[in-house]
Amino acid sequence: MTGQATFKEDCMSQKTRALSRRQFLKGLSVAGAASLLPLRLLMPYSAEAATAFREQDFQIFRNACPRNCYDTCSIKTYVKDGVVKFIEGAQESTFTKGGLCVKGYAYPRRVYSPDRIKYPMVQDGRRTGNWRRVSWDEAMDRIAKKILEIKEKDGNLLGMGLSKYSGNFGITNYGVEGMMSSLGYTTRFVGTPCWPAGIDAQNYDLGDMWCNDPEDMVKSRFVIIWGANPAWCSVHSMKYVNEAKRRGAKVVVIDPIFTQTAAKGDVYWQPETSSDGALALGMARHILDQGLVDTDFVNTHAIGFAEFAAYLRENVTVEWASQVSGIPAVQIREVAEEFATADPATIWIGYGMQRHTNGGASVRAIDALVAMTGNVGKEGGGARYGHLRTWGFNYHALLQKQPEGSTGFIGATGPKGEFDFTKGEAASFTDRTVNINKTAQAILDTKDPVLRMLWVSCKNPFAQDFDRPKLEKAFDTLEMVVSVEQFFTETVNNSDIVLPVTTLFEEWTVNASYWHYWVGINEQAITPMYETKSNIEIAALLSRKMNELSPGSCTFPQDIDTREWLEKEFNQGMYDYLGIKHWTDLKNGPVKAKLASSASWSDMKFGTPSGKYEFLSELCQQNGHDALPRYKEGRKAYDEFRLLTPHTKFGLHSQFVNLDWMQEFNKEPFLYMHPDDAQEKKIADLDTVRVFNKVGELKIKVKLTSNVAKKSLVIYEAWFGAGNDFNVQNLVDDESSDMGAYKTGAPGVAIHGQFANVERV
Amino acid sequence: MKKHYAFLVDSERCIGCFTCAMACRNYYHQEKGVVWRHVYPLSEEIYPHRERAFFSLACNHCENPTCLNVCPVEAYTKREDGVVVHHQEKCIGCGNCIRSCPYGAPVYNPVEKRAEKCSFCHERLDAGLLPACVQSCPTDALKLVDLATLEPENHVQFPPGFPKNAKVNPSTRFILPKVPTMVRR
Amino acid sequence: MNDGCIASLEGLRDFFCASSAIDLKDAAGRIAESVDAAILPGTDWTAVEYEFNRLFVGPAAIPAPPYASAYCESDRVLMGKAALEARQLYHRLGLAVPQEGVIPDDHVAYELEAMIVLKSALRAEASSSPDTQALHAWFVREHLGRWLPHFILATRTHASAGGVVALATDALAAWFDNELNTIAASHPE
Repeated sequence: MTGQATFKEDCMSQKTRALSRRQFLKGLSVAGAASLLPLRLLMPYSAEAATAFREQDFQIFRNACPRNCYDTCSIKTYVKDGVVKFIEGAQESTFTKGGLCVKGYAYPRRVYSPDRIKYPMVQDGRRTGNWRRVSWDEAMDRIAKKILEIKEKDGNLLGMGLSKYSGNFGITNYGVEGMMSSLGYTTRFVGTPCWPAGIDAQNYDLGDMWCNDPEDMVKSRFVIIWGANPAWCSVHSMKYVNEAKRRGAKVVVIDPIFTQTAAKGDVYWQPETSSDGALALGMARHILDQGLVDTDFVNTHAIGFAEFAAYLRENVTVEWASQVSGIPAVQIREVAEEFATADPATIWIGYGMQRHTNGGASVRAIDALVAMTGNVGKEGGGARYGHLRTWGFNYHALLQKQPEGSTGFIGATGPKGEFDFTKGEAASFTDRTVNINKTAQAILDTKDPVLRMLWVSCKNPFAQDFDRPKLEKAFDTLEMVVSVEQFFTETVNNSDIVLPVTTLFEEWTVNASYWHYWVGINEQAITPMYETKSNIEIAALLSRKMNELSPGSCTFPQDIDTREWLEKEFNQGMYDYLGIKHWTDLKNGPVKAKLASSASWSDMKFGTPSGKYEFLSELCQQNGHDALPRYKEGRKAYDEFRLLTPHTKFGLHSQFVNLDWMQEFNKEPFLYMHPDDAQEKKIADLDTVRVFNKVGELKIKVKLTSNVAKKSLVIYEAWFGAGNDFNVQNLVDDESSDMGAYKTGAPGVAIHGQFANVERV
Repeated sequence: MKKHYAFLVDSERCIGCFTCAMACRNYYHQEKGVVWRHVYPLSEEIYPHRERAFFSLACNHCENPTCLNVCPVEAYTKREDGVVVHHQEKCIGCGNCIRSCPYGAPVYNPVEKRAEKCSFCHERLDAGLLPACVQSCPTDALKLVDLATLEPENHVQFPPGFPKNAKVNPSTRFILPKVPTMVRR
Repeated sequence: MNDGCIASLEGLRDFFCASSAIDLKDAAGRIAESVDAAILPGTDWTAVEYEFNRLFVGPAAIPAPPYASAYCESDRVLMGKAALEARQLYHRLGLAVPQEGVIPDDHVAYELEAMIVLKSALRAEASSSPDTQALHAWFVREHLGRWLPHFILATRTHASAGGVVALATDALAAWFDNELNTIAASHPE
């Protein structure tokens, strides 16, 4: 061992240095007289200065939160002795502005939790809890042999499926899809449970989902937050809403629940759930009647307004909108007028708002409201939903070729997703696609060949997929389930093999946001712990084993350096957009795209077939919907109460809530119901109740509050971790939303179009 | 002019997101069950909507701190800038401070067998940085202020829901939350 | 400080870093031999492996993490002060955990190996140097003393009675008690 003697000396001398400093400090009271001298060079050395924080004591790294969140925070990581000591938000990003959120600050707990999955392990019998450690080589051997067996049996690899979604949005994690392609043509769960109906709607209306820079909300004179809860789900956006308010803007929050965001607005509207389309159309009718339409916009930059106006006159009245939504007509008129006369005015369309059987139609109606008042293409205006402008990477990790001679699915479509940037080429074979929003049903129904094997990464189906009872049955038909995970989830419990994956501090990647316009790199701050590997390193290992057993069976490169692969994602387009020379410029902090205008569509060149805003969209009609944003009724109730399962502030889906740091502040889940309903059912505050419907049931404690409307039940979706079987998916079925298939490959889910009953236990 | 550091808790801006509470935990890695900064929901008598208004509270760095007064081993010192520092290495875990603080700021650490509390991130203040909680707040609801120069505006010392103890004279100041116009269906 | 003690420590070290049923069987056999205990014939070593993983490895939450930090540190978080303390000790012995930081330095297996080195050094030195003695005493009293009893308790609470893990834990506890007493005798505080 070299350096042993010097290290010992170092240890000892550090000790003596410390000792002498203490002695020096002790002597300060004697030397106090020095402060009386007119000193020019020396500064007072106080006891306080001796203990002051020193950044140079740490190694600093740049990371980015890769979770499915509007805010995608830029993180500054402080490492000492190779250990992440603490993190904070990057100051360079005006959006992150030095702070993270309750979830982000819990990251160090994830890295150093003793409960972290450390090694590849094999479960002898699903759900038995009988796990054995295996080497990576053995794990890959088992998996590779299974893949080859499937190819042998079926003549193709369609029996292998991928369940992946938003668990990790670091760009290089698309290497998982790349891995699948590099093996052959496989079965892909496509679509998105999140925002597909709205994406389609915005594509029909505007030709793309493309929102303003959220930082320009400060310029807005009227802000409607419609079915979104940024106070919980985009905390960094709230400062822009606050600033708009401070400058005199009016903020109206529309939501079936009196959310935290609603408490911060000027006016709160609590409409009937999924009546949003009617409400928007009622406002539109009034704006039309009052002559407040922006005629220049509708005549010059739009088509179909005449037809839309005719529809409004024939079919929509404020009274009707009031009756459907429950919002008084006088309010509808007042807000409509204020919205139409404010310049600029904006509407933030939330994802919760479109998680209905009529979600897409509702978004179209709200888009129309923004467009007819001339707020499209204006700084501080716009129909804000999301964007993917800063995602113009190379997707090098994603784009891999199938091995020669691979056969697959012969059909019209290949895999798609809203994050699909492959600009699909025509091929004689493709992957087989099934609906991610009906995972359970898809596993049960898919035949010729059946699904034999599932690879799960960046997803937790047992916590997040709908109709959980059906999902259990479906998983039991699979011959092998491989989970790539950091913590023991229910999905891992239902797997045969678990592979330990790295946290954000243990790999190189790059992250963009679907809301703001900042991009940040994610540096490897510490060596991956235990035997964890990043998703692309796992792909490389699998490729090595596959080719060892059957040369040519996998095209994924066998040697991976995550830093190199990060580098491969950048192109000149991204450099120009960000105004940087090289990706290493991002090591100094995140950078914001150089926007010509903070407003999307400022050039009025829309991505629609006509090149204009389409109040009337033939394309929409061709795809099986209405050409106009006509009102579409929501789902009919099939039980006594509306069931809403929105997002909690304490977690991001099934991540974070399980950490004991989080459970310090969020100890258990609750059902929220209206006191009047509770009284009727003889339920008292904090009673344990049973919520049940045709899907399943759930036992939970109740909190009574008028934040929730009458005849509705609110339970925040979140996985609570070990020892707690709480799961809202026992109550949510997989009913589709109207739109989503056009741009994302499958319709969305009516997550809030659910109903249930409740009784005391 | 001598600084007098204090926390300003703006409950109108506060969205109860718990970022401040977790930022403190991130920085200091407290023992399980040991919490220095809490985010308390206001009761419905004070704010009529359940769990929609909050006070983020840690230590109030009182002018006449009980903890300092009852400590038998001088494990507390009050700096010139108002910060009440707990010197953990001197603490013998007698519990006097824990029992006597009207705001429950000092808490017992069962592993180290001693008290601990928020010390205003004084080592960060001395480096020209904000306390971890203040820096983390996404809505500027939790601010570091200097009572010596703070403009008298709409902040109060003893809002409803915060125990009134003029004797210790807590330095924390509050801005009260508002309610929106409610249009229910 | 005899060969039997070293053999026991080696067995314990190998036991707690075992990654397969075969490793466990081998290490357990040596532990049993060194403490004159018996392992039941017909022991299902795969079942022992399942229990071992359930207690010390994962993938589910582990009730008895074999790392000092889990018991000394705030909130069971790993790579805390105790891990860095252990690292410094190894450095003073002229040793280091390979790839520092990948596996926490305070894993019981590393600490047991360090103990073997210390005890061998003590035995080898003609007149035990005060430095080595002090290091040894510190390691046992101040470092291991802070966490090993808690680890043993956690293991005993969750391990099946009379099983192989229980046997290893008993051997570990017995060794530690003995070590503490030996130091108390020669280094009264």
